[in-house]
Amino acid sequence: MGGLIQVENLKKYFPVKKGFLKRIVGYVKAIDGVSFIVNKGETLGLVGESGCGKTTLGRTVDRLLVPTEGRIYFDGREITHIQGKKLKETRKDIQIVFQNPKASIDPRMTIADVIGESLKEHSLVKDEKELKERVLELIREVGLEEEHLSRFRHAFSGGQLQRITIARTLAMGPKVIVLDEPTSALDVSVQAKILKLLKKLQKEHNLTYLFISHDLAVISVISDRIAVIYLGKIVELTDTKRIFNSPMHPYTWALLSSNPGLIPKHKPKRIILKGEIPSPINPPSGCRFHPRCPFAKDICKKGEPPPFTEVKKGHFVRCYFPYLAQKEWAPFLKEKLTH
Amino acid sequence: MTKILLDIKDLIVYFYTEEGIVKALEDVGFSIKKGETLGLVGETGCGKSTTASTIMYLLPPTARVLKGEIVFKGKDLLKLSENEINEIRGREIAMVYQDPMTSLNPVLTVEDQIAEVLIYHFTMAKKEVKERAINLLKDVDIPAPERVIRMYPHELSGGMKQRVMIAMALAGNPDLLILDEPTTALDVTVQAQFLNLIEKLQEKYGISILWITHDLTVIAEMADMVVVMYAGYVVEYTDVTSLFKNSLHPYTSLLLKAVPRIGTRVNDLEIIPGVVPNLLYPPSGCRFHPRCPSVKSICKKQKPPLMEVENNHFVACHLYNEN
Amino acid sequence: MVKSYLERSTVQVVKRRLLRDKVAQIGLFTILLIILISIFVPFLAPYSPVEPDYSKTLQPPSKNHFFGTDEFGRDIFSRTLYGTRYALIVGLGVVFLASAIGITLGLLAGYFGGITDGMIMRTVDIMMSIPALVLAIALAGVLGGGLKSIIIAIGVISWASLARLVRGETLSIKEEPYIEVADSLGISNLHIIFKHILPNISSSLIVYTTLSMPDAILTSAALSFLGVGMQPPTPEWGLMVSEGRNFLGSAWWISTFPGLAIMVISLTFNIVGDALRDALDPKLEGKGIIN
Repeated sequence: MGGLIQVENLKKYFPVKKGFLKRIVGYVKAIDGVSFIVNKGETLGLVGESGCGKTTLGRTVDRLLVPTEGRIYFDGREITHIQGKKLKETRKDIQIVFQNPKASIDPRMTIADVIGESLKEHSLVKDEKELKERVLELIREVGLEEEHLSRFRHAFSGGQLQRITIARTLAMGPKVIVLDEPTSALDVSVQAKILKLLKKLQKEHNLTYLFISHDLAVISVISDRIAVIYLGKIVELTDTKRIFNSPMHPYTWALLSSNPGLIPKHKPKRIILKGEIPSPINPPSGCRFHPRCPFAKDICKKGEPPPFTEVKKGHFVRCYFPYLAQKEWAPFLKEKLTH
Repeated sequence: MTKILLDIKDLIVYFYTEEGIVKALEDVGFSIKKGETLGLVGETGCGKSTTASTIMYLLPPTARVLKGEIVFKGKDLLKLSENEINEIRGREIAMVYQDPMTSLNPVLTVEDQIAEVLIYHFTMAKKEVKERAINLLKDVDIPAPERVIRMYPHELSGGMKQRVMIAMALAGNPDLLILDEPTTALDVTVQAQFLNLIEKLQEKYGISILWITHDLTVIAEMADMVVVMYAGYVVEYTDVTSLFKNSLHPYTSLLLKAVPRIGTRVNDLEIIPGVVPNLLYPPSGCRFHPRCPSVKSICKKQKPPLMEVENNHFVACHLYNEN
Repeated sequence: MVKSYLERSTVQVVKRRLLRDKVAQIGLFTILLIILISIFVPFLAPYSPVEPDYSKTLQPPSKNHFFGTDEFGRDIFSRTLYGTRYALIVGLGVVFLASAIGITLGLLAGYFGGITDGMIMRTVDIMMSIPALVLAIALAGVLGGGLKSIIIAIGVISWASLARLVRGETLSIKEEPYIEVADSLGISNLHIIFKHILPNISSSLIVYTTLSMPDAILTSAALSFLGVGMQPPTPEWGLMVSEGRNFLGSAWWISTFPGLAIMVISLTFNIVGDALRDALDPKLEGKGIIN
């Protein structure tokens, strides 16, 4: 198959323990059979709402969590269950940036130490002098100055802190960066800066991004391809243009129509899904989405969940009737495109 | 001619902290008419939450209101006693906070939380309270309200919790509803439901809404008038259509261009150079001048006053003050 | 050289806060005084603390003997001054011993959890269910009395509650995102424990250890009083109080002044401990640049 990152039928379940003896009474099926590849140099966007499993997915690909089932490959090598030294080595190649930049930084460390810590740990620099130079280089790359290095986290704004975490991430020269809601906690104007910085760094260092967000607009501007996740499974995956021009899965449609735009006083006709997102402990039978789907038929409710099929070249959908939503809801899309 | 419900004038609020004086609000002023939705928009530190806290008189002990009036239904809230404010809070002015998780008391059932408001502000028999609570929950589109009133916050989803908060706010029959970032923590599909709900409620009850958010897309859809704040003061104040189609203040224009839109790419986003200033040491003159692409020498010396530049369109910017 | 608040580390913020607290200053000054006394006592004490002078027994406080003399004619004032040494040595000794054991075990239990946690915490539970003083007496007795055995005995009874405190704090710091980050950077467990967790729990540790000094000193005094601690003629305060027991009616000064000394040092450490707790308050991170 290829791709720098390859994920095959990945599952991550968390046991639910109850009672005095901590018996396992069930599992939170956070990720339940996810497969995709990420090509070198591209940005794959993962979008979904709370409970969909996107955060767990990011942490599992990064191997902060150990998969329950399935496989993960990096550059052809399987990394699903590696531990110890091998895992430490892989850390240099796959890195992660978290949502809350302030909480990601130890309040007791100077920024210089924050950025340089991994360099020391992995013996990537010969001596203090080289460490200092490298740290200086990194902080400049993210748009900050030397004087910032001696300060502590309380001295910085959210946007600056996120730059610092990005500098820290770059220190080891990773090939893949998982970005877990990197701009969700930031103001709009700061978000724009960070997104631009990420784009610039991607070009300069030939980075591959796995960009996770709940914000469809943000995902749309930065991703090359987008995967829509619902309740632990990918329901649609294709390139950015096609997701917005010709979405197929009803959930994708609902997400798109929920997004407010920038037209004043414009209350768009919305596809409002009935009900709420079910718990991942007891996902619905058959197609996970069927209780909320206005088109659900018998086959959707019973039997197997629909397979993830390549309906058109490069366009994957998990639905028994992938063309239904398009037929019914085409007028909604026309509206969307006039933003 | 619709009546003015809330009129804020020349509000100055500073915080006296360990590190120094934070000049949080400078000459803030705007008004809300009956039945109108005013969007208060700005980024972190602009003072929008402080403004809301000042209206509700829920400021931390380090805060000092140095100047200004907040006239609500003819009375200046800043001159009222603690008792008088308590009468108004929760009754005539109600606030819904950003995080429903921490705003609901985890050991009280939904019914008890709503009852608190009803019992404090109206004298109601227990049976009446229960009925009213159920009706309020119906109003906010919560299914099976008879069951929900007996539930605890942790048994409810995020969207449901947010609606319970609205129900609590409506319990007092308020004239003004202050929503402080109500949708920031919500999923986009839940947010869509929420926006629809608020529309419906506003139509039904004719309440005025002060909608505080940093999300311009929500403002576009829900607001009638918009106030844009930056670093503690009002930079632009006009109706929503004029703001989006014809923004006058450089900050507003840049802000609008920084919002990601479906169909555009990262390269299309505009950035505002620099960072939001530290309000311990705010810039001289116009607080936006260090970052403004159209800065002139007068901007560094004098703070531009908020002036009506076009019909019902106020801007605080020297570009429009040729005098 | 006032650094901008942006560059102020925790230590510097704490220093600033302490300097503003008058009561804390008195406490700190007193501690400094006690330390200086303990160092320079050979030059400060007018008489020898152990040599008897049978011509001057049981004399009340006077110009020549500020605190009077005991039944061996020894100057109580000089003995009290020398007592500062024993108080400080025992206090610091116990704190170091208890910390070494308690902090290490607490960190391991909190960080690794599972069986490690289980075993350590059960040991802690056992330690804490034995009456401390009884155990200390027994241990001191077995070890034969004297400075070393006091320190060991009291250290052994003190580490358990420290371990519990450290474990609790470790558990909550462990949940902080920056710990997960360290993991994702491939930082080894040992480094995470000592470079990330320990510095971030240090505030509580400082407060705890400061406040546990008076405890150690009082316990040591109790042990000596009961005869299993320091042995005569050592000028240790607890022993001095004990030796003056038979003279409470006639020569009250023999027990009273060492007793007051114990009280003063305990009070001082308590004051400083409280002041440190206030100064290390969580709102420690400089007020944000944006309100």
